Amino acid sequence: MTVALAVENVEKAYGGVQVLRGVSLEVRAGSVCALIGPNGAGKSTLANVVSGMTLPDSGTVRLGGEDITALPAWKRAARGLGRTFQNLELFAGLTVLENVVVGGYALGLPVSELRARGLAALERFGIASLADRRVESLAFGEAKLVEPARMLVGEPKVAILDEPAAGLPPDSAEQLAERIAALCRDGLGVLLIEHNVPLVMDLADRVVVLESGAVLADGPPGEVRADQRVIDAYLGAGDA
Amino acid sequence: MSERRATVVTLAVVAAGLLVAPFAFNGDYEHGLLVGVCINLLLLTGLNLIVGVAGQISLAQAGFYGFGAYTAGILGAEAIGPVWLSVLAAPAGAALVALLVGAPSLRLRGLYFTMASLGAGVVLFLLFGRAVSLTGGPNGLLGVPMLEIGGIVFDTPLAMYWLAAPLAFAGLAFAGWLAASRWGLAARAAAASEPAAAVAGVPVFRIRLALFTLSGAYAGMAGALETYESGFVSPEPFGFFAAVTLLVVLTLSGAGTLLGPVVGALLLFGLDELLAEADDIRPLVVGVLFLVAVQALPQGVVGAISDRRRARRERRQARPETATETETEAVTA
Repeated sequence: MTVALAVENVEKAYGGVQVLRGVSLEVRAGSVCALIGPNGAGKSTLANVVSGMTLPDSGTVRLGGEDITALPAWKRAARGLGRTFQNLELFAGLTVLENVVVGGYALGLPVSELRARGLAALERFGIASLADRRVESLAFGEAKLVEPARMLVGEPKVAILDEPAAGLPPDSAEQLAERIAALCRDGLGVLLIEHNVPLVMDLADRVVVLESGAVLADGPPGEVRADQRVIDAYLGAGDA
Repeated sequence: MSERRATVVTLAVVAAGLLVAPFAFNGDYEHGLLVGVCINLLLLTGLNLIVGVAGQISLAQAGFYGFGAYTAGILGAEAIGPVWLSVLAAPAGAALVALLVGAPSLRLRGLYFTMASLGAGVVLFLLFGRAVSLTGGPNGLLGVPMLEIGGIVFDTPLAMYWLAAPLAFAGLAFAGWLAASRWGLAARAAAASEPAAAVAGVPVFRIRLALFTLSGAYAGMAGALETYESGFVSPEPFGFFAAVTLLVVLTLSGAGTLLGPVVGALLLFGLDELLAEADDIRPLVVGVLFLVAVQALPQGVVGAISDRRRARRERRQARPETATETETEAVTA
């Protein structure tokens, strides 16, 4: 499997607080790399650095081998980097279909074509019947699926999913995991940030544990789960 | 009714209204008022692009309006090039000014952009009043010739109407198309969530700058029409109060909707007529309208009506599902 996304030695500080300390990781095409760690470990900051929402102080981000470290977020998206957010970031005032149509902006296609692709993406996430509803009228579980559908319309090569299962009931989280696995089978590389440890261990090909802004462990799920440092810092005895 | 069909119906109704209006309201005075409605429609349609579609509150529109008016007036009065060229130079010049103002100021967010746009409007207004050798200063610019395009002389209010009405309609139709295009959708998305739009591939700053520039062009065209309609330009209609009035009227009528600028243009017309003899209380009336807009109709008149229709449609669509759920429950029980 080729490396779809590479993060190399990324450092980031806000004022005097060092949030990321030499973080490196790889996401391979068609695989899930899970990023876990306690709150405040720097996971969302890393997602922001990778997606272009914030620039790193040093280090490199490569997408398909291309250095994208200095590119703004919208140019990264145009090159095939998709992202969802920890807290819902939907386009209020627009319908569900219009929301996902915007996800295909960088493709440069006419709206009619984007609508067709948007409907296909909504179908893939099982919410096509909500296409004409305004997003603000959706239940949380429904709204949570709009973001990945929107991302999918942009035909990303790599997706950063920031806590996609947060707040979902167990059966919906399982369904979501199946959908993510299906996307990976289609060749999508996924950087999954998630607190649902069973879901992570089930879905991920590789797990990176972040603690206080530094990589604590990086390896296959079984190996990471058994790592005593990870158990002490994050998993605890229950999840190990 | 689908959104596209609603747009076509709206445009057809507006076109019919514009065609019938000069016959329904006969006389030079009435035709002059109708030209004013078309000018307001252009101004508000342009403002709607940056405020309603892009979600950026601009107070520079009156300044761009003035820049267009003075560009047309100065080129016409000084006989620089053919008169028709001044009608094109006005929107082009105002668009260029909007581009220069927007390039730095649209990097600011929210109220900071609004303050910057207000600053630009105030600077333009001061320029109109103080560049006496160019603009005639507070006394105004005299000597604006009759507008003549391809041998047709627009020497009556009715003739000006037949120039202004198609321009206003074309401006509205183009804005409607633009708002429904992927650029319009992207701009509306960025207004709701800039980070999400950016990671979806939307070049937020560029789209906003393009819409701001275009809003300047609309205002410039409105300014040119105003100049040739009245044959005179003075700074008064292009100041802070005009900028606020435009914003309040657009908000009250329905920012972000196709019909909002049309309702707004009629509302401005009504205000002008009602307050023709009571100009002193105009700020008070606009202030009250602003309070009504913010408190009672944050979506504006048109927005409130469409929201209600949408809610009714969604309830209707949800009804069969509810029935099915009830049936399922009954069967399960």
